Amino acid sequence: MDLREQLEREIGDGPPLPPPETRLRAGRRALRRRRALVVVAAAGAAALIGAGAPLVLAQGGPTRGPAPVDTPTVEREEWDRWAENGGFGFDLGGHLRFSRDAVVHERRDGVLPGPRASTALDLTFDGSRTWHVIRHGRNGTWFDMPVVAGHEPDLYRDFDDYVAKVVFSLEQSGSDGPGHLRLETVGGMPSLDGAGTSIGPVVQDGQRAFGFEVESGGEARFVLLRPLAADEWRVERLEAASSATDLASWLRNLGWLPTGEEAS
Amino acid sequence: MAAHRGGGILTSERDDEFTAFVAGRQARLRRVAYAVCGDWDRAEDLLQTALTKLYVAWPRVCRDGREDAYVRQIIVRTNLDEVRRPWWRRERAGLDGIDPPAPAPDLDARGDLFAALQSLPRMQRSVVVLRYWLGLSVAETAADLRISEGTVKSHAHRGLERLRSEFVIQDP
Repeated sequence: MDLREQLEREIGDGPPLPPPETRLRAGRRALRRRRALVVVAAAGAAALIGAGAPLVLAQGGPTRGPAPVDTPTVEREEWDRWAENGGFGFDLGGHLRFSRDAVVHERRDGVLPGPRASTALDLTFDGSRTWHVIRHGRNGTWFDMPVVAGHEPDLYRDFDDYVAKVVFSLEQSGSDGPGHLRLETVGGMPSLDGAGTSIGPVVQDGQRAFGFEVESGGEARFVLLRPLAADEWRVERLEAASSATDLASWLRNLGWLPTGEEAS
Repeated sequence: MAAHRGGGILTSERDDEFTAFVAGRQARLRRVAYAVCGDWDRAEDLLQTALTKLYVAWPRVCRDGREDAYVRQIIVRTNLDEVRRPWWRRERAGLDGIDPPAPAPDLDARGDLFAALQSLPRMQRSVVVLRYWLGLSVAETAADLRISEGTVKSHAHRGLERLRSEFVIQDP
């Protein structure tokens, strides 16, 4: 079977299409709304500047800066693009751009290793506060691992914890999302890149987990992984390893090793 | 851009060009939407959303000569965003664990292969449609879906394997 030809036959044509004029009318309405919003947003930005209120970011630059003012047509259209993309994005040059409606609470550049631009963002757009770790890709694309801020406090205690877990996840070959890994199991233990000492399984409230001391990003870290499915794992805890304690003590402090399971 | 008023109705080069584009391309683009979502009503919504955005962005998109790609990207991204939001948006690594399977397909008036396609997780399905039906390159598919080329290859391989478990399919 030729996949392309077969799909071409099976997909069919569907019900009758509306006339192009219907599309045109919808487009015109959207354009009128957009232009009205631009005027309102420009007025709002001017009012914010006057009041010294928390401001919106323009291209690149510092984490807090002056709000964008109304600009010629070309730039407005570029901002429209960022709005369509969820409030921000990298342009082709690798510069981070923001919609005028995006409010950035925190921004950290260069959070991921490698030559490509990367940034961690805590921002509010369209009524929703989200956390992001983004990396500029090729052809104007970018990689993002967003979560809704504070939605899963047991997984991401705060923005710092979210960023740390995303960066750690991306360093692992089995990254499967922020704080999630897809790992093979060897001898009952998940195979974690850079792992040294490991302890497990440890148990708390009937839940199983595995503890590791890992070299990650040039630093020693303690990691607790909990199984989600056959080969899916969640980064339950991730902390910088302290020279004052060892993995077993760390696990005991967290309540995961009350009986002193064997270490390997 | 030429613009003039006639009979109280604003007409412009934008309108003429947009209308011509819609007349020539909307049937094909709605089929693309249907292929990724599996429902004609939803496909119509996706296409209308994409065409409305195209009209707003027409000068920029038309200047770059990528009207078709622009609409296609909005269609596939909007379809994916429905399940990602608010948790997932844009590219991510290793999507299998978070790309939920589609609901059981309605087999009425559909072929077996199309039904099997609709049973794939959305991202796999989108990759298969873009790569093997529309014939986009790995790089073009990655750009459309905002995922890495490696992720495209992974989804394409897994999607094709799933289809091959039910059909004898030639190497695309």
